Amino acid sequence: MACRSIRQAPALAASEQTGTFHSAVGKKMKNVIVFSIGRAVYAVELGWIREVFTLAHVTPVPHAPSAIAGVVNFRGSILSILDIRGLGGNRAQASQGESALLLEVDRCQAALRAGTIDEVSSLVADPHTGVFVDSRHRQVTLLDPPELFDAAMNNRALNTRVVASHEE
Amino acid sequence: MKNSLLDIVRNQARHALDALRSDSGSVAERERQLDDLFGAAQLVGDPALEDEVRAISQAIVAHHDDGVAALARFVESLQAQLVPDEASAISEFADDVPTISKPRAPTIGDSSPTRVHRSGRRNKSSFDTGEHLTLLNIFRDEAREGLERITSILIANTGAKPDDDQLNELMRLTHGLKGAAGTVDLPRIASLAHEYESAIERIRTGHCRWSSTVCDDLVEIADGMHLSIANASGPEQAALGVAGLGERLERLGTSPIEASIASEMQTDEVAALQITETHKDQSYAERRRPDRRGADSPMLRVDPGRIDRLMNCVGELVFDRSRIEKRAGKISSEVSLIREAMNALAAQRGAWVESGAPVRRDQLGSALAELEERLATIMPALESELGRLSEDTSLLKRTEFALQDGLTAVRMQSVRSLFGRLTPQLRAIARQANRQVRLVTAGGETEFDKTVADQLVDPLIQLLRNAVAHGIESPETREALGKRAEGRIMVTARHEGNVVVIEVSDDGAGIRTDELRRRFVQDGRWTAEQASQASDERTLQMIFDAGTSSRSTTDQLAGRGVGLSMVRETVTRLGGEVLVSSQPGQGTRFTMHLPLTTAVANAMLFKIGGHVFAISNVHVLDQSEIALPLRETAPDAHGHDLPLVPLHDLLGFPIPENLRRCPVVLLEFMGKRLAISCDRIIGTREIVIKNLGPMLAGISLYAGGTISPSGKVQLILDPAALVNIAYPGPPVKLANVATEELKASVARRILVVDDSKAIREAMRHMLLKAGYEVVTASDGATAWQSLQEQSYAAMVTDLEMPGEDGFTLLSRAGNYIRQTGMRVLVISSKDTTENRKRAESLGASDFLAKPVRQQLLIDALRAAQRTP
Repeated sequence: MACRSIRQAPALAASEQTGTFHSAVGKKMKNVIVFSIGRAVYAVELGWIREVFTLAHVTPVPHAPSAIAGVVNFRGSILSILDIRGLGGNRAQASQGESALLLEVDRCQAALRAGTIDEVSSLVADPHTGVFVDSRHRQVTLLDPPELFDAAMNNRALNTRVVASHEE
Repeated sequence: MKNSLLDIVRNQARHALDALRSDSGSVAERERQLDDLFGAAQLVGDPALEDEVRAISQAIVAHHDDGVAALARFVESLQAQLVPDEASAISEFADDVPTISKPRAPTIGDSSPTRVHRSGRRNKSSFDTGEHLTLLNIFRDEAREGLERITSILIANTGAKPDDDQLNELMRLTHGLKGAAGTVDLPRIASLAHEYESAIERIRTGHCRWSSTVCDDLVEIADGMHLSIANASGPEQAALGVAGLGERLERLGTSPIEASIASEMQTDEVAALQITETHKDQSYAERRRPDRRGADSPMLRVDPGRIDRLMNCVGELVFDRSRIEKRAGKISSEVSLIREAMNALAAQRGAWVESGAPVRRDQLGSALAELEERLATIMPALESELGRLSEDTSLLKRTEFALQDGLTAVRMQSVRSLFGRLTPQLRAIARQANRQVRLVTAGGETEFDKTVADQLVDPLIQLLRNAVAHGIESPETREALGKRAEGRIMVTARHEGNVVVIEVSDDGAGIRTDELRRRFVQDGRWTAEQASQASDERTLQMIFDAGTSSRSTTDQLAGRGVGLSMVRETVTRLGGEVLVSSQPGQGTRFTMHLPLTTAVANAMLFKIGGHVFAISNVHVLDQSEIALPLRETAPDAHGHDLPLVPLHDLLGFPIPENLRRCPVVLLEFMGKRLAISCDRIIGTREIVIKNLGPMLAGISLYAGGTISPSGKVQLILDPAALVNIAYPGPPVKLANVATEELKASVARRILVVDDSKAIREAMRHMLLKAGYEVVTASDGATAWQSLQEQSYAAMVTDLEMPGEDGFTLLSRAGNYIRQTGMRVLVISSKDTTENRKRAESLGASDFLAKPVRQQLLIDALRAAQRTP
């Protein structure tokens, strides 16, 4: 049947939502949802996340880019399901019951397979290495949805950001 | 409520009495009178009354005079009973939900619901039936608006008498209604409007004293008119509907004694519309049929501006066609040059053959060299023309989109009219159920497709009924709970991306999931374990499933079973979804998500690898079966071999093991025929076509997707891709250079819109310096024109412009912006949250406050262009 939302991410203030997305208050800390797929840990900033939900029936899309692990019905819209691992060229098939993040970039929505959702927390960059770590001190790959969407559409790999860049 | 019904019974009884006393009518006529009387009595729903009437009828048949005397006494007793404050006792229906019926005139012992008696004297209409129906439809909207205005003025004045201005307004409105009704030849409605006008006049001069009862009556009568006109499937019916109301107007504010029966409004039919009927007998399908509403008017009222847009598109089409024609001409002249070269070569060859002499190598060489040279000059020209042809076709495509958009826009109507239809319904429902409820609406300006709107009327009314019957508590209970005595139902509409979200929420008792669970276990739908394991959410969603308990049980929740599943079915059929949430003691909310437009098509569905795929039925020629193993072709009905595209291979699914013969679908597209294989052909179905989103839009194999009734996504195959697979030909290589250049030039082009010349020029300078190409427009209309002519990477527009302001331009160009991906920056001297929000909702990427500084503008443009 329908996807059910587990949580709704807090919406950013309206002024922050016009035009391009600006990071959360305080450059050093990023408010994110952290999830792990296998042993890899990923995070996405809250501002990009509309909802967290469970996938309903997944329809495979033959000949889609490998990063797209199928489509799903979400409140009457057909959403593409993105799979980070698929970017490397290994296509996987999403299945019903998995957790997913509803991302929105520029009014375009897609679902991101989110394996096991660990927590909503703040990421800090380790002062010595510059690497992002979560509350358990695990190294976290911070995903950038606009780039993610672009890479998925064009079938290319991500320039993943594990290390905080200097300007931050 | 009961008053109006008893009213009708009384009138009918009077009529019957007159007929019986006068001796002039035939026996059949008199019998009919009695039938109608009984019918009227049945509508009241009071078995004692029915018995009484039955007894009287029998008495009349057996002993005429005694019977007549009994009838006379009956009439008198009814007179005495009519007291204005008598509360309706028709409320055994906590459980059964009332519906509004077609006028019925059942006879004693005969339960056929649709026989209608024709009265002896009837005004002959000057139009034929078809015309008259059309006119009624035209009148409907006008009547609705007028009556809505009237009721809103009245409701605002339940306490004190309306002031003179308002009374004049009321009279003006009813007068207008009268004129309109008269013009479309609805004399009885015109009469009623006249009565209404007189009633208002009496109030104005003080002859009729204003009171909240009078106000209520007026509202009720207006509602009655509204409902009867809206629901009538024909002029006769509309007239019948308003039959009883004229009398009430005359009685307005006076004590309930005689009203003259000489009024022309008397008909022989019995057709009060605020009748409550429990339709235990009528089947669910009958009740649900949309055409019973009569509100499915085949007419559309359209804002002329939208038609203008369409006309513009048609104009564009002319340009597009002539462009393509010219292009075709140019290509054709290149082709003739080729032909010339070929002819020259052929002539040369012919000469050689004739001469008989052996051809020397250098002769051959030079002939070939000449040919090569000729072709070398022709080819680039040809290629570039072909390249431009592809541009021409994109322009054509754009016009096509614009045309489609324009047509879609024509069909859009604001949700306000939908809300408008709800209010009188809710009042009727609330009155019947003895609840005080107020309807609050928001988001009336939200627009969506008229067919979707029309089909939502029933579900929304069902949800309202639910809220009143099962949600809102009685005023006493509410007050005891510390709530306001008056319950509130909120209906809101808003856009969210591609969908319209409509919510119906009440502040009533809410739904108790523990009770639901108990109920489901009791019904056998769930085991005790399932019930304890099910989440609250899941339990709530179950209410949409048609109840296992039959409608005959008078159980609170069973009454809910059928109606809500109809709601879900309708919403799913429209390509949407409905959800429910509830807080016990606080209220319940139903949320419907609906697609903005419904592109519906007939499709052929088939299964491959366990998944269902679809293809538009337009392309389907036939279906058949072929033996395995699959060959490269499949025969059509005439035995011709068509190329076979093996979908299993194409889509990567294995052929099922036990498949003996493989079903194939024969298709034709652009004159080319082919066959596709599948596991199983399911059949045809009407589907709502949805796009797959930008990430999958580029895959040529799919034309889109649809959602099955069970909520699964099903892919729609694009026949063009299948044809390309079945008929592989040399791919047409267009001049890639041209398209790359084109893309690059578009990426630099910006459209600047501002009414101030100074600002336009200033921005032009700023942008030129940054390497952009700038086109300016001084107003929205010119800007729109420019958008049609060329592509732009971005548009920078002022908001405050005379005539068409920035918002209007954005609305107009909404779909254009979405489809081309053009970025829009909005500039305004009023930097308010509201403006920003609105700009964003209309598709703007950024909002800059005036005065605009160069660096900010450039940065914003660059940022906008970077985002995907």
